[in-house]
Amino acid sequence: MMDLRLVRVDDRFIHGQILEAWIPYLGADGVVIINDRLSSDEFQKSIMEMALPDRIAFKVSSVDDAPKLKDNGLFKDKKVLIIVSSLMDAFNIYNRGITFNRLNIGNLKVHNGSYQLSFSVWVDSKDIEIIKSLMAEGVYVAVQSVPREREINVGDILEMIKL
Amino acid sequence: MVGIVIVAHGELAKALLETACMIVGPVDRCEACTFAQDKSAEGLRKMLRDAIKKVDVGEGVMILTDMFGGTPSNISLSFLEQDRVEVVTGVNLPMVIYALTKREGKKLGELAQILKNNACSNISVASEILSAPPKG
Repeated sequence: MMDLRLVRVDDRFIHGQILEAWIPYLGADGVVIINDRLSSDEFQKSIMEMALPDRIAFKVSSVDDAPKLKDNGLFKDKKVLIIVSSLMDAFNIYNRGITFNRLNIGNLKVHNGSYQLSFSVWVDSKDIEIIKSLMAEGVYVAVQSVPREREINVGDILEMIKL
Repeated sequence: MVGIVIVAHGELAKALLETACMIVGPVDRCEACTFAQDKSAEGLRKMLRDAIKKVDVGEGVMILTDMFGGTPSNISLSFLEQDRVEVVTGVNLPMVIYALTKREGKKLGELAQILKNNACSNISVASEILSAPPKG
């Protein structure tokens, strides 16, 4: 059974903030990307694998295959960071049994995103519905690009701008 | 002549190019792409595509990027193409200066190897090559 440390929404997947900030902060030794497009892109997968230190177990999974991760021996007793690129995918994995009690939103550039929650996070009205549904399930949703930066509770923002 | 594109986090690429020009003078066929935190990866991809087009004279384009695994590098690697576009990571000032001044008459692959070897051998720990001056 994996020890799920954080689920993050980040449309840049593996990049500087993940490698230099989140992995050391979480003490993560497992990283999983759950994304349908990337799960069939061998080139991008191998680039990301090369960027990660060797000690980190790594896998890219489709959304439908996500439930199998829980029993994947590769992540047994590993401290795992899960990255998805959209709130919809976060919601979909939650509903498929990869549950979490907090959701971190790091980088999200929604095309035609109507609302800006931080300098690096834009959401549209559908995303806001998803955030509300997750909050109703008891999930704490926060915007934070790197661990040293102050976390912003999305619930507070939505209340403030009356959404 | 190989075209050169520098791409890095924040304003680093622009600063490297401006600083290199301060040392070697104005240069042709070299573009810097900045990647600010509020910009999307797709925006960077478009910026890179435009920059590559701008510096390309048909002899290949060298992308110099800051750190392997970072977004500028990830996007750069998607442009990789044999003898057309090469990517070298770990860019620093000596590398930019070397690329700008030594690219004439060199093929893309050859230039990439030289840049890599040169950069690796150009980092030094002072006390390993010099003995400390006497105190007082």
